[in-house]
Amino acid sequence: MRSRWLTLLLIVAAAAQAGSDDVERVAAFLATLAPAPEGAIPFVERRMSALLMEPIEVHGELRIDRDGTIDKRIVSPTEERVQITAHTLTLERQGKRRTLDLAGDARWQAFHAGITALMNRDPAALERVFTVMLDEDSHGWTLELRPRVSSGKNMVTLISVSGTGATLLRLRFDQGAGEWQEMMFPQAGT
Amino acid sequence: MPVGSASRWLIGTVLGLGLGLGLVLWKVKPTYDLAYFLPVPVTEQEAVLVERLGQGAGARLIFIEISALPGADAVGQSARVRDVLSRSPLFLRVENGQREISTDSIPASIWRWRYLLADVDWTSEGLRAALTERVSDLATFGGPEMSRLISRDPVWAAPRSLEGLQFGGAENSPRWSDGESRAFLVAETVAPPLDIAGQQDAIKQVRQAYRDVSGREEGMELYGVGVYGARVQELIQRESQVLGLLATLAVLIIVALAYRSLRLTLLSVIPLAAGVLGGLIAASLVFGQIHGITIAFGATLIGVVDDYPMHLFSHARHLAPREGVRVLLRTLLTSAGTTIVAYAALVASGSRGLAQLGVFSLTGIVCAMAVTCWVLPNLMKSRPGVPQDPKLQEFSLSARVWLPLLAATTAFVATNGGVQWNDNLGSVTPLPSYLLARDQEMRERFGAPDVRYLISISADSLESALERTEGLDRQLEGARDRSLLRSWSAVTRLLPSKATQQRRRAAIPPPDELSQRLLEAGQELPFRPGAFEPFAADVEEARGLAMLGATDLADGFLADFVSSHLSQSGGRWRSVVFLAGLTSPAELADWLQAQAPGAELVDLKAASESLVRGYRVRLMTILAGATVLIAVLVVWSTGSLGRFLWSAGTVAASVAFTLAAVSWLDGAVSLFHMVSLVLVAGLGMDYCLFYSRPGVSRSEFLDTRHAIIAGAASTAGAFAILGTSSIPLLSSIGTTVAIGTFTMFVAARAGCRALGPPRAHNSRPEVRQ
Repeated sequence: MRSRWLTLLLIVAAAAQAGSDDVERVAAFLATLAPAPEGAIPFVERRMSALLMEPIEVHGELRIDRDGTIDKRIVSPTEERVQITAHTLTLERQGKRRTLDLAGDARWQAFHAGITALMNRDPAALERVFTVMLDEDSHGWTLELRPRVSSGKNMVTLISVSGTGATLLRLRFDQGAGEWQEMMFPQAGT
Repeated sequence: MPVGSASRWLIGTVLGLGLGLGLVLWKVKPTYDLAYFLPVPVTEQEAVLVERLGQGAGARLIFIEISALPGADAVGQSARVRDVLSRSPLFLRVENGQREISTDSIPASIWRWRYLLADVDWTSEGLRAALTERVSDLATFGGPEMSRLISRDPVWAAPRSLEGLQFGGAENSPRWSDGESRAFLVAETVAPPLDIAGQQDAIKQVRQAYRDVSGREEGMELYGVGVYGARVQELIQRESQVLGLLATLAVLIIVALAYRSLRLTLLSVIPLAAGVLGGLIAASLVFGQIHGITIAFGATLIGVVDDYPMHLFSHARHLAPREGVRVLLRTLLTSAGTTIVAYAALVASGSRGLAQLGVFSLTGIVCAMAVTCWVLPNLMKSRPGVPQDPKLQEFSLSARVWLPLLAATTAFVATNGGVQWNDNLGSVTPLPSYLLARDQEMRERFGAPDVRYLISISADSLESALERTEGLDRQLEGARDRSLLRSWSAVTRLLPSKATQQRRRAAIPPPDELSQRLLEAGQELPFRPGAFEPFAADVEEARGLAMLGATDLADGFLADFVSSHLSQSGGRWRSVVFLAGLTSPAELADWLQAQAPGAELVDLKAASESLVRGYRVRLMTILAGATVLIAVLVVWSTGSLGRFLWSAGTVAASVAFTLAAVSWLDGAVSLFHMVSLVLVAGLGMDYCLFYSRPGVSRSEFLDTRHAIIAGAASTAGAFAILGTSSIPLLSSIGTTVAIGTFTMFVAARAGCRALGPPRAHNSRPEVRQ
C-alpha cells in the first residue's frame, strides 16, 4: 500500500517537474519565433464539417494588431469581413453588419487571450489559457494548445500551430465530431 | 364611577383592541405595487402608460452590475455567478453575454413552430440562396452544433425568429461589460415583479452567489422593478417602524408633560390604536389588500386623532369626563366631520392608493372619535371639578395674522411665477429619483426600447389586433426608409396572426417536392447527400402543426415578451410596438396618421404629465366641493357667520402659506403635498372651531388653549420626525404637516383672544356628572 502511494507521489512530482520544463522550453521557443508581420497576411483556410463532402476552401487576408484586434477579410468563395476584438465579433456580409458582444463570455475571452498571447509570443499568458505541448524535429515544430477552461459545444478542443524555423505556417483548430479548420500562410515562408 | 365599572370598561377595551389586532393580522395583506397610487387613466395614451408601469417589458428582470477590484476579473466573476444562478429554480434564465449557437439554446416553442414564425422562400432559388449562406456560416463559425443546426434548419427560420425578438434586431446587441472592470448579467425571475417575497428570495440568492464567487459583499449592485419593490418594502417597513415608534414616543412625552399623569398618557394611546386598527380593517375589507404606504400612513393618523383625547383631558381639569364630552361633543363632532369630509374627497379622487388612504383615515377618525367620546370617559378617574365661570361671550377674532401670512405667500408666488406643480409621475412613486435614473440607464444598455415613445394599436379581437400589427410592421419599413426611426419590436414576431400562420403553413412544399427542390438548390454546393434529411422530417411535421397560440408560449421569457406587447382591457385588445432611434416624433406621428390610421404614437412623458395634471385638477375640484360641505358644517357648529369667516380665513391663509413654504423647500408641489394640506386644513379647522366656540367660560377657554397647545406640539413633533424619512412620499407628508400645523396654530392662536379681566378660579370642588 505504502509503495503504491510512493509511486503515485513520484508520478505527480515528475509531472510537475515536466510541466515546469515545458514552460521554460516553450518560453525559449517562442522567443525564437519571428514577430507577427505588420500589415495583411494572405491565408488559405480549409474547413471541414460533418455536412460536407469535402472541406470548404476560403481565401483572404489576415491582419493582427498589437492590441489583439484580428481583422479577417475573405475574398472567396464569398466576400465577407470578420473583426474580432477582446469583447466583440463583427461580421460584415452582403452589406449587412452584425456585432456580437462577447465580453460576458469567459470561454471566448480566454480563447482570444490565448491567441493574442501566441501572436505576442507571451508564454506566461499562453500558459494561463492552454496546456502547451511543444514538439520539435528536423522538419519543423508543432505547438499543441488545449484550452484549460471548459469548452463550449462550438469551441475548439485543440489548436495545433506548426511551422519551420522562426516561421508560423499553419494553424489548425479541432472542434470534435470530425469538425476542423486549418489556416495556412503560404507566403509566410517566402 | 365605581371602580368595578372602570375595570369592566378596561377589560372590554383591551379585548376590543385585541380582537381588532387579531383581525388585522388575519385579514390584512400588504401589497407594495409601485403603480398603486397612480390615477385612473382617462385617455388612450394614459391607459397605455398605466399598463406599462410595473408590468412592462422586462418587469421580471434583475440587472446585475459587478465592479471588480483592481486586478480582479469582473467578466470571469459574472460567468461564475451565471453558472450558479442558472442551476437555481428561482430563475427562468440568466444571461451574461455568453452564447452558443445550437438547437438547445433556442426556446422549444420557437424551434417547434419555426416554419410558421418566419417567412421562408421555399422555391429552388430561395433554398439555394439559403444554402449558399450556410456554406459561408460553416466557413466562418463551424463547429458540431452549428452543423447540427444547419442540418435541421438550413433556411435559418429559428435564428431569424429569435433575432426578431431581440430589440433592435441583430445589429443592436447589448453591452455586457465596460472593459474588464465592470460586467453585467440579466436574470429573469420566476416570481412576478409584484411577488415581493419571491423577489426577495431571488435577490438573496444573487447576493449569495456573488459572495461565494468573489468572497466579498461589496462590488455588486442590483436594479429592476422587483428589486425596487423589495427595496420599497424594506424601506417602508423599516422607516414606518422606526419613525412610527419615534413619533409615538414624541406624542407620549408631550402628553405626559402636558398632563403629568401616567394614566392619561396611557389612555391617550387607546383612541389612536382604535383608529389605526379600525382604519386598517376597513381599508382591507373594502380593497381586499392594503398598500405598504397606507400602513405607513397610519403614523400620520396620530396627528389628527391625538387632539381628541387631549381636548377631553384638558377640559377634565375643570369638568368631570362625561360632562366634558357633553360640553365638547358638538365641536368635536364638527371637527371630526370636517376632516372626514376632506378624506371622503380622497375616496372619490380616482386613485386606488389615495382612495384607500381616504377610507383608512376617515374610518380611523370615526373609531378614534367614538372611543374618545364613549370609552375614554369610563376609563378616566372622576376628579373634583371647579365651579363653572360665568360665560364669556366676547372674543377678539382678529385677522391681523392673516395679513403677514398672505403677504408672504403673495410675495413668494409673485417672485416665483406662481406655485410650481410637480406633474412628474415619479413624484407619486415612493422610489428615490436616482434609482429611477439608474434603471433607465440599465434598460438602455441592454437594448430596452425608447421609454418615451411607442405605438399603440387597439382592436376588438385578438386576431384583428395581430393582423393590424402585422400591417404596421410592414408599413414601418417605409418609415425606416425615410429615416424616421431605426428599429421596432412587435408582438407578431413571436405570435403571428392565424391568417399569416395559415399562409406560411400552406406554402410549405410536400416531402417529394421539397426533396426535388433541395436537390436542385444544392447543385455545385459542397453539402453531402442526405445532409438535410433531418430538415425534411421537421418540415413535414410543420405541415401538420396546429396554429401557435399565446398559451403555447409558456416559456417565461417568451410569455414575458407577449405580455409586454399585448394586453386586454375592457373587451378590447391593445398591441404595443416598441420603438428605437426616433429622429422626429412629430413627423412619425404625421406619417402614421397618413399611412396607418388607427395606429397611435404615444408620448408616455406627455401622457404621464397629463395624467398627473388631470388628477391634480380633479382632486382640487373635489376638494373645492368638499370645502362647501365643510363650510356648512362649520356654520352649523359655530352658529355664526362671523366665526365661520374667521375660521375659514385662518385656515385658508395658513394653507396658502404652507403651500408656498413647501413649494419653496421642495421646489414644486406634488400630489402628496396636496393630500397633506387636506390634513393640515382639517387640523386647522379643529383649532379654529375650539377657539371660536361660543359661550365658553374663562376656564374652558384656558382648557381649550391647553389642549390645542399640547395637540399642536405633538402633531408638529410627530410629523417633523416623519419629515426625516428617506422615502420622498413620507418626507413630503411629514414636512408639509409639520409646517402647516405650526402655521395654523400660530394663526389661530394669535387671531383669537378672550376678552374680559382674568378671573380667579373658585377652588371649591364641584363634580358635574
